[in-house]
Amino acid sequence: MQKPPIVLPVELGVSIEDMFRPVDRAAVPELADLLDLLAEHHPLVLAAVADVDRSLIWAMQENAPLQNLDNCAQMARDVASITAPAPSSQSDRPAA
Amino acid sequence: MLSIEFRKLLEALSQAGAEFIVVGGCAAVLQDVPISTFDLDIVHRRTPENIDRLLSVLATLDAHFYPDFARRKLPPRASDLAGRGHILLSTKLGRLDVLCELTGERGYAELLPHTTEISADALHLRVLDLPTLARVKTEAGRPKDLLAVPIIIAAYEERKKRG
Repeated sequence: MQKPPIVLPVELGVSIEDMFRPVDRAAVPELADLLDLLAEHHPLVLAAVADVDRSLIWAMQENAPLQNLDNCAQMARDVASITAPAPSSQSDRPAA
Repeated sequence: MLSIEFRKLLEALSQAGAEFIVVGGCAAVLQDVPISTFDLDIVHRRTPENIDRLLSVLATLDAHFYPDFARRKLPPRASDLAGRGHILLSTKLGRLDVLCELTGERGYAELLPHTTEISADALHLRVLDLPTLARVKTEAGRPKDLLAVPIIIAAYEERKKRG
C-alpha cells in the first residue's frame, strides 16, 4: 500500500532522502559485523534504519548530552503522570 | 508519583566515587539517540571497595528491590552486587537498574574499552559507546531491545558524519 508523501518545501534545504535513508555501510565500516548479523537474523530491523526520522537526531545534536537526558527525564515524568494510578491504589508495580 | 531524576541519580553515584558505566537507554540518549526510557541502567565495577561505595550511596537513595508489593523495602546486599545478575532498584530519584553484567558475560572490565567519556559541570561519566550498545541490544534479541537498534545505528552514523 502506498503511503502519503511527506511534504517538505525545497526552501528548507533538506531532502526526504536526507531525513530517511538506509545505513551507508561505507560510512561506518566498524559496524560491518553488526550489520551482517542483522542482515542474517533480523533483516527487518536493518531495513528499519531507513524509517528513522533523522531530523530527530539532528535536533538532539543541537543540545548538550545532559540537556537531552534532562529532556528525556521530563518526558518520562510526563508519561508517568498521565499513566499513574489513583493515589489510593498506588503500587510499585512497573509500568507495562 | 514516580520520581525520575536521571541527572541527580548520576550526580549522587559520581559524588560517592562509585565506578560505573552508563548503559541502556540513558547511554543512548546521552549520545543523541532519540528514544525514551524510564530508568537508569549502570554496570558497576565489582571490586569489594566499589561495592562498598555503591552500597553506601544506594542506602542514602533509599534504594530497594522492586516490585515491592508487600512494601518491605528490601535493600540490595553486597553479595547481590558481587554476583552476575541484574538488580532492579527503586530509589527516591527513580528506577535504577544495577547490572553486574550485560549479555555475553560483559562486565565492567570487558565494557570499559568500549566506552566514551562525557563530561559536564562536575560530572564525568563513562558511557557505553553506540556500536557496542547496538551490538548488545542485538544479541539480547528481545523485541524491546531490537526496537532501539535502527535508531542507534542511524544516530551513530549521523554522529560520525558530524565529527
